[in-house]
Amino acid sequence: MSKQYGYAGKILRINLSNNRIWAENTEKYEKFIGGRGIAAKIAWNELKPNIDPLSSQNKLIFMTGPLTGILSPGSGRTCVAGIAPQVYPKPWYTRSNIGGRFGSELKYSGFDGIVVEGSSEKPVYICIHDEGNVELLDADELWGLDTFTTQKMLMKKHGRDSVSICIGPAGENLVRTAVILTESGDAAGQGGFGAVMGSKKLKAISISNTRGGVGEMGVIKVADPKRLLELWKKALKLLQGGPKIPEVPSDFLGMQIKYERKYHACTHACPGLCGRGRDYGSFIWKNVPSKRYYTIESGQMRCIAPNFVAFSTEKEAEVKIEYRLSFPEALVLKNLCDKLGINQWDFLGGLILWLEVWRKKKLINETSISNQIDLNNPDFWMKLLYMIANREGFGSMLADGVLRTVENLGKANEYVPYVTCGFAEHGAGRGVWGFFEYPFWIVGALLWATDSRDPFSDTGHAYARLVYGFHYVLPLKDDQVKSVAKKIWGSEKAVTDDYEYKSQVAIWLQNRGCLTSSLPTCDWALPIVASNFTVDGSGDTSLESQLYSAVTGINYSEEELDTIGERIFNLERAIAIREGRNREVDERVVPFFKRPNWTRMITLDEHKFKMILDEYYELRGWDTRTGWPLKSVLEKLDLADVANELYNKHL
Amino acid sequence: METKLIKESGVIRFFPERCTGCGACELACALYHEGSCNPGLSRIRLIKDSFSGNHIIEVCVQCSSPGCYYACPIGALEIDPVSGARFINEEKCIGCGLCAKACPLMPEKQIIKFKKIGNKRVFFKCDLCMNRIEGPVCVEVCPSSALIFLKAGERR
Repeated sequence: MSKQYGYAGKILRINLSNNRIWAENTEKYEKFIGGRGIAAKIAWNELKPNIDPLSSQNKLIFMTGPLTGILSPGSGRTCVAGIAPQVYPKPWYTRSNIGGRFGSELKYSGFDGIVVEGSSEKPVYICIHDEGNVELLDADELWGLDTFTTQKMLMKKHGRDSVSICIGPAGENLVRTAVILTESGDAAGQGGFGAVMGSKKLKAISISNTRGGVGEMGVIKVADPKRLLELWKKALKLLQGGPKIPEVPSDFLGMQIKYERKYHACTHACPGLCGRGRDYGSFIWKNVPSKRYYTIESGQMRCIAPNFVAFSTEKEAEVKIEYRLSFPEALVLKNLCDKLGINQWDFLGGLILWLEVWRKKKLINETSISNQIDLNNPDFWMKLLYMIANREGFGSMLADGVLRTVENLGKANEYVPYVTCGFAEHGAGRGVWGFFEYPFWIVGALLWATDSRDPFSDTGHAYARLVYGFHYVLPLKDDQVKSVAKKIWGSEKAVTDDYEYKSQVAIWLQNRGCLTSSLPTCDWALPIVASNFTVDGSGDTSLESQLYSAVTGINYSEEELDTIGERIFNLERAIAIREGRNREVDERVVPFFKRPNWTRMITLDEHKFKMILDEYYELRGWDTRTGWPLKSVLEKLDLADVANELYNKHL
Repeated sequence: METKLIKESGVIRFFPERCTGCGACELACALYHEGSCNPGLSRIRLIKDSFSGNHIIEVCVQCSSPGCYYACPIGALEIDPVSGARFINEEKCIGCGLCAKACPLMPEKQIIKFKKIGNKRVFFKCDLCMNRIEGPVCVEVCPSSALIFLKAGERR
């Protein structure tokens, strides 16, 4: 591909074992669009089963898409993929996603993606300059530094417009929940890809594009600029009623908060006031004085981070958990977690809850940590974070994840807030998303059963947006929710108390999830399933295909683009099958969902679940006994080569 | 030397407390003027500070007495009779860069930049999207109304 609308045209390849740097054309991966899709194709071609995620055999894939760096909602995002050390018991291929401006700048420097393979003997960082000049530089001075300091050092060296992604001490010490981080708290959290960078001795990737004298190289052409501008305005209208002067709420978690804060765009071209003023929305807090520590200049507090401040379980939860820290203390801990580079979702939604439950159940008494666990004491939190990041004492065991710790302690997997494959609860109704009621977590169960990681943060959010009013959507009326559900999924039953019409929802969400991280867009915004600014509460699910068409000039209808999402999902399934996945592995979610839900104590009906799993496989065109995609289905999705390899070599 | 009275211009104003640092302004500017996206091709510049949340916008203030206008040796800097925008006629521009040198806000701020077309340098700056009925595109796309447009008469 010389130069196509929406793409930079080349993928940067780097082998850290022999310092070889080369580029390949993006064009050959065209039918997988970008991001998650292209990453999956590269993984299918190059990441064979049984690769140790922390060995030089693993490859770390960073991939943008045609909408990255474009005026398109949440376009700054980049897919990160490879064999993931966080996965339990045996690491397999999965993906994560990072915001900020890194992906955009990568495209402006002339690359759609980077594939890093091999590993370096000494710490290095990759530096990409204007016009695609790439260098491997010594990172001795950066090694050991936290993620904020690392980025600031790189900005000092390469200019204030330079951007970087990096790892902290957790990644260096191969903590299996280590993140890759950019800016003040935007991270590729899932999978433990920070540890993959650490194992390759790759501290950071820095991009420094100058802001003047731009030539042809870093320019991303748009096929229909006028239409794209109209689509941006349309998205703004549906998400927040058009441009709005931000009104920052005066309370936070029910407390009156006197500190200064402002809305913050966590990714390039963020379409607006994220979270619509709610506690988990995207804010930067400023000048927060703390008696215990110091005055905190600034810090982000969004998504799950308010759980640093306080958390209490629903009344009916299996085990009652309640803790509260002061806001400044929580902000210090939040920043520390980011600086060390530890996955916050896993830490707050997994490890902390597990520690507290096991303390209460007296299951953890034999270790050095048992009599120190006190979630109302910030010093305990701080010590715990450092222990994990630096692999000190018991922290060394925790650094391999809760499930490996439980295994090492020789205990049974009970009262563990992990749904399956090493990922903490999310959208499953029993944990930090304990509020998520029946039957919504039935959709959650299907998503968890058939994905390779926590499916909620790039796949399931859209469903929560409709049924609860989440992110950009404030709660809709019941009849609005039902009519939208009928419009998108064909039946009101998709949102009512039953097992019916849940597999249709799960499949739609998964195909859309593939598009969300392939185009890419922000999954807090798109697909716009619902809106508070239309009469019937419906959004516009065709926005993705319209954006794609306007940018690339390739006109795809909503259905055609959905088929590409289906292709990507099936390709990922083929990778999983090659790694040994089958229906039995999918059903590993059952024990978790047979525990009572945290709101109405409802448990999963195993028989009914297996029936809707049958339905799911049938709708997907997968064998209901094995969970394999049928050869004919793969061929129909233009994956004949994949079908041949799968069925000839691995059957 | 003869000087003629120059029409006063409208201006784009920035409200830093509203800005989320999303960069839609830069992308829309480059998209509208160049049909492509790259902040290097934008006439407005965002300096995002993700750590402090204190973002800065740099854009031409359309001086009443514009140094760039007087510095251009070939009259490529023109004044739009309607909006008063001081703009560079890119077809006339010879790439000498004297306008950028004359700008009182430069080089601390990037107000006038150039792009490369082959070996040729072509300078460009904010023209207030003077041919756009809806007004400056950056103002229109800003999700948090951090930019507003003041017409010539409204400027204080």
